[in-house]
Order: sequence, then structure tokens, then C-alpha cells
Amino acid sequence: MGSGGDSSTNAGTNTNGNTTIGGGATGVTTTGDPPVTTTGGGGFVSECVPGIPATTQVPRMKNRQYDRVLQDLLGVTSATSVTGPPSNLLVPDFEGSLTDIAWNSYQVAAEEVAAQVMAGTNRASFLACDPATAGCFEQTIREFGRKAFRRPLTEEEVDSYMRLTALDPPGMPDEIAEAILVALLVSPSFIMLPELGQESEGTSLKLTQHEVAARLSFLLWDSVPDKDLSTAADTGQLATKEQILLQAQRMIADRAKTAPVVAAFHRTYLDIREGSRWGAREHSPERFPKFSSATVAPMLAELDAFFEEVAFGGGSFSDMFLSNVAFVNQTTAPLYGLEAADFGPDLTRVQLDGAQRPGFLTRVAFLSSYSSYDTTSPILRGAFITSRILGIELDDPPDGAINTPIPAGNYATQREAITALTSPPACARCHLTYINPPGFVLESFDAVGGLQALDPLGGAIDGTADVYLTEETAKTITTPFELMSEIAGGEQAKRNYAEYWVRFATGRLPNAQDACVTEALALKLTTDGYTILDVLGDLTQADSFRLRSVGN
Amino acid sequence: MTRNLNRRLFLRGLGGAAVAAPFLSSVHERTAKAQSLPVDVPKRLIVLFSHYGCLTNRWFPAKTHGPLASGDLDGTTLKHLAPYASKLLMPRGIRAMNEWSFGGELGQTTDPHTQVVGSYFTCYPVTGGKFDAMPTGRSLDHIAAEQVNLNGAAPLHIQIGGVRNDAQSNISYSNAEEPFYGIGTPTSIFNNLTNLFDEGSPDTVTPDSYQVARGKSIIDIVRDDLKSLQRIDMSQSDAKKVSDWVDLLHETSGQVAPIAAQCTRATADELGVSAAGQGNLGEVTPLMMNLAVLSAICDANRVIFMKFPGAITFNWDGISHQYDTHGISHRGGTANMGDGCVPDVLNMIAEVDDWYAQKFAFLVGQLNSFDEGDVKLLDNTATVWFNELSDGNSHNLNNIPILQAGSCGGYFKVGEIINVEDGGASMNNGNSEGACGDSGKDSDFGILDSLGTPANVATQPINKYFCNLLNAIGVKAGADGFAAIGGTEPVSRFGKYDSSADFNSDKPVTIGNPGEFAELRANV
Repeated sequence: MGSGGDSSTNAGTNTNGNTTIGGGATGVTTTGDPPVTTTGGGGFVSECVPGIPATTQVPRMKNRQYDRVLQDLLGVTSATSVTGPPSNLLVPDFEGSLTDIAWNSYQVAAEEVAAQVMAGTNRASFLACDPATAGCFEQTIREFGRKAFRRPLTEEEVDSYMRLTALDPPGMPDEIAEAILVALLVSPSFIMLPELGQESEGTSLKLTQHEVAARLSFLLWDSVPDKDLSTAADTGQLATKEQILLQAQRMIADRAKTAPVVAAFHRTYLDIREGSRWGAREHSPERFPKFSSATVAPMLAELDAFFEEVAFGGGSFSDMFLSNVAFVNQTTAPLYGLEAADFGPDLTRVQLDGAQRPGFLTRVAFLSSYSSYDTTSPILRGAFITSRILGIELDDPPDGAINTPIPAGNYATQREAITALTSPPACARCHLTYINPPGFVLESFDAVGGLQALDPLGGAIDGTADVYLTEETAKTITTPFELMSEIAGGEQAKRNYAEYWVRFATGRLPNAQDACVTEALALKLTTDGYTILDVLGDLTQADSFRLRSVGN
Repeated sequence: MTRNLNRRLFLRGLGGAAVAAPFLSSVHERTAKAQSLPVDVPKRLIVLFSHYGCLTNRWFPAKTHGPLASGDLDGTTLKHLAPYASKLLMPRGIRAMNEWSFGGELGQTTDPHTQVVGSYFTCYPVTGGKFDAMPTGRSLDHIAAEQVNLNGAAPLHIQIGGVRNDAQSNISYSNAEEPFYGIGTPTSIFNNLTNLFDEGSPDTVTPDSYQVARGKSIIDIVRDDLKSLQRIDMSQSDAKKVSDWVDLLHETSGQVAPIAAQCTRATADELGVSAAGQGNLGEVTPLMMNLAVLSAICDANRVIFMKFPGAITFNWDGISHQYDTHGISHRGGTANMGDGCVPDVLNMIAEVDDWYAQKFAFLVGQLNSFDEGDVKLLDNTATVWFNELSDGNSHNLNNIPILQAGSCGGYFKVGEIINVEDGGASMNNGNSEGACGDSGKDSDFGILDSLGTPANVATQPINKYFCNLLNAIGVKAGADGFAAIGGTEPVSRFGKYDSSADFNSDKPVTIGNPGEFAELRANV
């Protein structure tokens, strides 16, 4: 094992593309620089510059939102020609102009969905009338179009869609209805979330109330507004921050609709995605017979359930790091020291010893994913905590410092081996100071997340380390519980968490104006009784939630 | 099998088609438009990209300059290409840009892979951190596509094995720091091609059918929606998104092209691309390559970039590895360098190299099996296999392995190995087997550099070859030599820097060695 490799420790890196923090604009690292830079969390932008950021006016729906919208509007949950949800027909989310293939994929999906709706039991969700009767098409265009476009259609638009009812040669009533549905589903007004309001407020432009409603529903539900929210927009009840908050709180309370967003956010926060470290690490079946490929799905599902539990149980930031709640099934139970026979295939809520298993960083998913094949990896675990959770961005390894092999020696513990590996001065600056210590504290968990009293190399576990919880401040920590308590109570991790929320909500890399929102949220997170769901509500209270400015 | 492409005029771009219920607009109207256009055989740039370098001393033939005969490939990794030797061009002596090195002498020190992948087809430095670095300029495929594709459409970028949207994998950037992930599922590509199939021809579709009227009307409605957006004052980038969408509706610009008669569902069936395909890389690669071939036949795109995924563990086609491709490229089985050698690692690398070569040979063979006019489809392409690195453990970019097939309509010499550095016939082929072989010498940290090709060998900038490729497919440049829409000059400059060392600087745009490699040109 080396000290991380040329690309192995991506734990904790962010996906920042536009800041010059850390690696720097040219990626130059000068020997002698301090090993870390203050990023203000997440490695994004630290300085708040008040104002309304310029944003795109024509963002496209994300694929996950596309699926939720079709489910909510039409009850459609799967494609026809491919397995899985309708978005499996689309190309992966990307910025920039549509391509021919991407555009065609929207058309194919619309055709499949429309055919499915017209032939299926959800037909009434689109057609509230008999298409053979007079006025049905116009009524449908107005009523369904209102839902799909998140605003009333203009008369010009209604006329435009009505052209489909007068084609030559004419279609049968059901054919015309299906064509109308296809046309609505391939419309730019459906596929994108245009923000076109032109009314000024100061130097900014105000979103229309329908646009505010769409921001609310896509932020909180990944979907279109419901009837109440639409009515609020129609009747001018989304003009003030207070009115927006009222709606937001109502919506957040709808657990079934908000929980998937809470889960999606936390996957983003922790970098849980296809191709990341999470769930990708295989483990030696000889050394760890309780772990197999069957462990991966339930252990990752556990995290979704865990964050939902914390959020909707009124939990706060600290509960994420300290809650003793776990969700296990027959496969994962033994890794927590529970009897497999007591559980079935579905996840079951259990309470563990909170002193031993505080929060999500002591769950199997993290501990096994951030380990090596047959050993723990204090480096991976420590780098993740330092960088991803605490927001301490580590510089790239200085010239020549990376990838030295473990020096020959008889080590009694993994800690000793890793310390020897990372002790050369060029490594030590980051590793001994920042990266290794939080990893050492978690050495009481083996490579698959089980408890271990003795190191496999034969020595006793030494979980005491001086952990830097900020760039400048270290504290001697002796147990995982103590580590989690410090993270949970520290301001730095909260700011980092707030910044990920702002990034998630805006769909962009945080800019200087967003930094002001981050700071306000971070401050609130330090308040007693402030919950995860309060964060969601407060995200709607920023001026930039209802105002926009035009970029270049 | 040889197929004949009758160049029967047909129209393209019917506004998108679903498999179940095609959108079809007025065929007669479009046919009239199409028939009024001259028929030009399109030139295509088709690229295959693989990661982590190769065993250079097995990959390159012994001969480093001169005619390339099939026998020259005997015993090399490229032996599978022997049947096409007369159509191959191997440019030797080239360095790709922005090499990572311990001291930063040859480029940035961001990450040995992230910076290379980001800079490879852009020749721009990267910004950002170790694993999120993105280039500060556009990539070759987009620069080419905007000039040579109909309506300036985006290139076809295929990620074989599925889309990975990370900076160590992204080779395509539509703009600075704007990754273009492309397509990872065959279905999306195939569905789009069905628009062009012969079923839409006047022979098989009644132009006055309800389906045609419906499709045309829906597209008209979409166009109206977009035009209403165009009346709004937007940022330039937003306005471009809207206008680019309008362009996809195909009827506004009137730029249509003939479609080969064998751009049909029958050809698709023959190529085996009609059915949705999934599976391991061994199964999906021929499918994706055939979709690329069909895209070329149908002239759906003239710039097709394909790539294999990074860090993948080979377990197909009779290969069974325990370590992923990144790990074995480092000899130690992990992402770390200097870990020492896992048993039999050179053979593992050779198996991977061999598999890639087989797949490139498959692609070349497929392109060479279709007639296009008097020549083969392959002959109207520059089909190029690029590798991220030269030797995978030393991470060097000089002596970069490049193999081209097809003369691109006679633009390039073929059947030759051309050493663009000095024309010498004894270039160093690298030392990839200098460790981990029978001698047992371990791949420890101190010897990595010695496993590659010496840094002062084979250093001619890849930018010049990119100029060749752009000129070959008809891209034009402005007076400054950089590709530019509306330009009239040959392309003589590409990227920001053409000296790898400059990547670690703040210099303005500096192309110290402009022009293409004249020695690669036919008839020059």
C-alpha cells in the first residue's frame, strides 16, 4: 500500500471547477506552502459578496426530476422499450445545448409515455373528459398544460396546440389526444424550467409567482407544484418570504414527497454515486466472510433510511453524527453484531449502542467503502472526514512525496504501518497532521465495519489521536464517539454541510453571492433545536430564491 | 461482407423519430430540398481512446520509419491490424500535452491522469483540484464538429461501457470547464439513427398520412415555443441553448444531406445494433462500434469519439483479472505507483493491450467492409486510436502510441510509419518491460522514469497532428491559424500551448511550432 496513490484518495475531494483554492489555477504546488488552505468548507468560495447571482434562465429538468414529474402527473413509472424509469431513455444529465441524440431521446420518451397513458389505467390523469366530445381537447390542453408547464398557458399557446385537432388528414379522437400529450411532453416549456419574469426589484428581476412555485416544488419534491401550491401562485400568495416559507413548510411536512430529496441530497453530500468509492470496495472473503456483494445494496439503502429518519424525526446536524439508529436486514445485521435470523430481507430499524456506533460514519457503508481489500484504511477514512466532512482542503502532495511503499518492518498494528509509510517529511505535513488521526480513531472498526478489539497484525488498537477539527485547531480524541461529538458540535463541518445544501439547491457551484446564503445557514445550524428540515425551509428564504439577474 | 452504398438521395433530419411512432414531416418538401444540393462524400474523424498507456516495446513495430507492411506487425500488439496495413498510418515521435512529473518540468502537477485526460484533446491547462480538474479550453471533437457537421451539430461521443462523469475520464469538453459526457447506452444512439432509415423514404411512407402531419405539427409547435423564448432578453449562453435547439428541428437552416440507401433498419439488423444491448465491455464494445459505423454510413455525425472506461477489471473474452486496468498499469495492482509488481502483471497488461488492439481492428474492419463510391467507407475517414499515456507506470506522454487507419479521402499517406521527429529509423520504443519481467526487477519508486521512453525522445507536439486531422476533414481557420467558423485558412494552430512545459506557466497562448505535420500528407 502506498500513501494514497496518484488517484486513489479522491475521498473528500470536491467537484469544484472554478476556484483557485487548493490546487490553484495552474495546479502549482510550491514546496513550503502550508499544507492546507482555508476554503470555508467544501473547497468552494469562502468570501460572501452580497448580491443576486446571475443564473441560467433555461435550466433543464434533471433526469431524476423528469421521472418524478411523470410519476406525479401521469402515474408513469417505467419506460416501455427499456427497463427502468422513463429517464433511462434519456441521455445522462449534462449542461450546455441539447444534442440531436438528447433531443431525440426526449421525443422517444414522450411517445412511449403518451402511448402508455392513453392505453392504461392512468388515462384520466391526462384526459378529464371524453376526447370525442366537443371542447375536450381545449380543456385538456389548458388543464394538463397548466400542470405540465407549471403556469397557465397563453391563448397563443392554446391555439398552437389546438392545431393538432385540425390536421389533414384528421386523426381519430384518441390519436389527437395522444398527439397533444406528446407535444406537451416535448415542449421546451416542459423540459426546461424557464424563468422569464421581467418585473424589476432593485437591480434584479423578480421571478413570477409561478416560477417561485416551480422553484419550491423542484427543490423540495423534485417535481411539479401540487394543487395548493399552484393555487397559491395563481392567487398571488407567493409574493413574500413569509408566504413562501408557509408553503415550504407545508410541503416539507409531506414526508413521502420530500424524503427522496433528502436522500438525494445526502448522497450528493457524501459523494454516493455510481463510480464513486461507496459500495465499490470488495473485501477478502476469507478474512471477512460476513461481507459479500449482497451487503452493498442494503448498506447503502441504510444510509438513505438513516438520513430520512434523522430529518423527519426532527433531528439536527448533530444527530447525523450521534444517532444510534441503524437500519439492518439479514445480510447486514451480523456486521453490527446482531443475529441474522432475527431479520428478514427488508431493512428494520434498530437502536445500537450509541457510545459505540454514533452516527452514519460508524455505519457499515462508510467503514467498508473507505477501507482496503483486506485491511482498514485510516488514510481513506481520515481523508474523507478531513476533507469531505470538515471541509479542510488538502493540497496536492508536494513534488516527489506521493506513493512511497510501506517501509519494511514488523508492525504490530495498521496504525504503525501507516505511520511509518507517511512519516517522511513531505508526506507528514498532511498525513500525520490532518489525514491519519481521524482514521486512527476509527481503527476499532475493521475493514467491513465490524468491531475489532485487536489489530489483525496482533497489536492492541490505539484509537487516541490529535485530530484537527479545523485547519488550526487540534484536539486529543480517544473514541469514535468523542470524534463524532466534536464534528457534530464544530462550526466548520456545519458550514461545509450548509455549502453542499446551497450547491444542491441552486444546481451550481457556489459563487460569492451563494456564500452569503451558506454563511447564514451555517450560523443557524449552530442554534440549538435547528433541524435538518429547517435547512430546507431556510433555503427558500434567500433573496436569490425569488430574484434573478441576467448574466453575460 | 461488402455492401454497396447507392448514393440515392434522401433527406435527413425528420425532426426526431420514436421507434414506435415516428414523427415524420413533409417528405416531398424535404426531398426537393435535398435533391437540389450537391453530393459531397463526407470526411469523418473517428477516434478511439483508451487509458493508461501500454507496453510500448510490444506495441510499436521495430521499424520506426518507412513503408508499413503487414509483416512489420507480426509479433506486436498490433498484429490484429495486419490485414489493413496498407491503410494504416503510424505517426511516430509525438508528445501529448501536459505530462505530470515529480518536478513539474513537463506540465502541471495536478494529477498524473486528471490533467492528462483534460488536456489531451484540448491542449489547454486544467484548473481545479486533483480529481476535479477541468480544461480551460474546448476539445478537438467540438472544434471539428461545429464546422463539419450538418448545422454544426455536436459530435457523437460514445462512452463504451456507460457514462462516467468524472474528470479522470472526461475527454470531451464543449467549452472550457464544460464537460460533454456523451452517450453510454446503445439505445439512445440507435433510436436517433432510426430517423434516417430508409423506412422514411417516399417509397415506404405516405407523405400525406396522419403520422406525417402529426409529426410536422408537433415540431412546428416546439419551434413556436422556442421562438417565443427567443423574444426574451437572455444571456448569450442561454440564447445559444435556445437557438441550438431550434437548429435541431432541421427545417430552418435548410441544410440537409443525402442519406445512403443502406442507412436502413436492415443494415442495423445486419450489424446487430437493433436490439437494446447490455452486458460487459466485451459484449457492448462491438455493439457500440457498429453503432458508430452505422452513424458514419448514415452521415448522422462526422465526428465520432469513442472511449473505453478507465479503471475497469477485465473479466470477459477469456481474460480474467483480479486487478483493474489502472492498477495493473502501475504494476502493483493498485492506484499507487511504486508498489512493486504483482505476479504476471506484464502479461495482464499485454492481454489488455491485445484486447484493445483487437477491438480497434474490429472497428477498422467494419468500416472497411462498406463501399462508398469507388472506395471503402474507411478510406473517407481518419480513424485514430489514441492512448492516454505512453508507458502506464512512468506516465509519460512522449512517444505516444497513435495508430490511424484510413487516408481521409486521400489527405494522408497510408501504409507507412512516419517518424515526424527526425525521420529516423531507429527511434526508441520505450522500456515498459524494464521491470516486473523474468528478471524479477521490482517496479519500485525510483525506477519509474526509466521504464518509459527517455524524455528527450519523440517530443513533437500532438497539436500539429490535430491540425492535420482538422484540415483533413475540412475545418478552416481564421487568419491566426486557429480553427474558426467562416475561416478560409488551413488550421495551423491548436490549443493554448504546444510545449508541455508551458502548461506549468501563466504564459498567454503560445504555439511555438505551428503548422501541421507536412510529412503525413499525401501528395505534398
